[in-house]
Amino acid sequence: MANTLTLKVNYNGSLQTIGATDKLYWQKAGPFAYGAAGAILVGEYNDGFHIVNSSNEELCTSAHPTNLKYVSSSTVSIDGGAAVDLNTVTTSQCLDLNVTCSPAAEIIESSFFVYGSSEENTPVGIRVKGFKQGDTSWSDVGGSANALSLGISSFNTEHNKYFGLSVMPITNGALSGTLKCSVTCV
Amino acid sequence: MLSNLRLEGWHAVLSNGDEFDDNSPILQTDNRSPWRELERIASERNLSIVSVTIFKWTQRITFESNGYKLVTGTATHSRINLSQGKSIVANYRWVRREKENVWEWGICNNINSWIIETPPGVEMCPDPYDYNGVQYAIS
Repeated sequence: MANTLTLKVNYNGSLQTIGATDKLYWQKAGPFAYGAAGAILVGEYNDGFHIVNSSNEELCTSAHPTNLKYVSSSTVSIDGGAAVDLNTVTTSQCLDLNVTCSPAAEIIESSFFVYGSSEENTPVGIRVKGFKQGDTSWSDVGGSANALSLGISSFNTEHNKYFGLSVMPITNGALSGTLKCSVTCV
Repeated sequence: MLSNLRLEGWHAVLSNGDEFDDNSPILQTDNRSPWRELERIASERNLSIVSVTIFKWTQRITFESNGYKLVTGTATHSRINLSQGKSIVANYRWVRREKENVWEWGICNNINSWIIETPPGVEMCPDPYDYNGVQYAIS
């Protein structure tokens, strides 16, 4: 009797679970390149999004997850396309926070953010933008004070919360953070 | 009476002395949780929920209403390190007393319990391992 949170995303042609040792990897435009060869220039947002395993090998070999790139506060580039309104991003283009409740329950609040050395801190060297699917504008989602609400859900055994992320390095180097997702149920 | 066999759940007492837990047959419905059904029944009978005990493995917390609204539920927090590929999920059970100026939370996992205060209206159960406000470890 417990709730589970599972992060999923569409790649290789179907909705896939992000495994316990898999990683989300954002890079510059072009084919998959882990590390310096794929580095996003300082001051630019991601032009590529991949799922890699614990050995940094690409898992999305036949079809990558949708790359969502921050363009302006209300627009997004989807897989390199021209800027469009953020609220046109579909659920299938988002990360899917899949919540299972046992027993069934309603979600009275849910949220996510990305943090660095501690949860109140933003990731060092990265600006992280995020949105809940349907939002009209991006939000800063770095640090617990910037947790972005994913809202409520009615009584059920399974819930899906869709959101997107875009990252911009503000310093050089291998940069990272921790994605925290939370749900409260009654 | 609380069962000694169950590892997790809640037990509540209404103002007329009636007792329920999350396994009570009368609270099992297809469209709301046992807690929400208890709230509905209490309202229908013009009663209030005066006490809630939550339990999870070795932990147990009891909140008396003292005239305030009580709510109970669960919370789950997951952390995914984006570069280490390490995923951690933590499950908690909580009870909340909604005072006018502060919401008091009793929160437990399998081995620890905490009392945490948040401003009124904060629906997200605080994560005891990441809360910088008023917090008391009680075990």
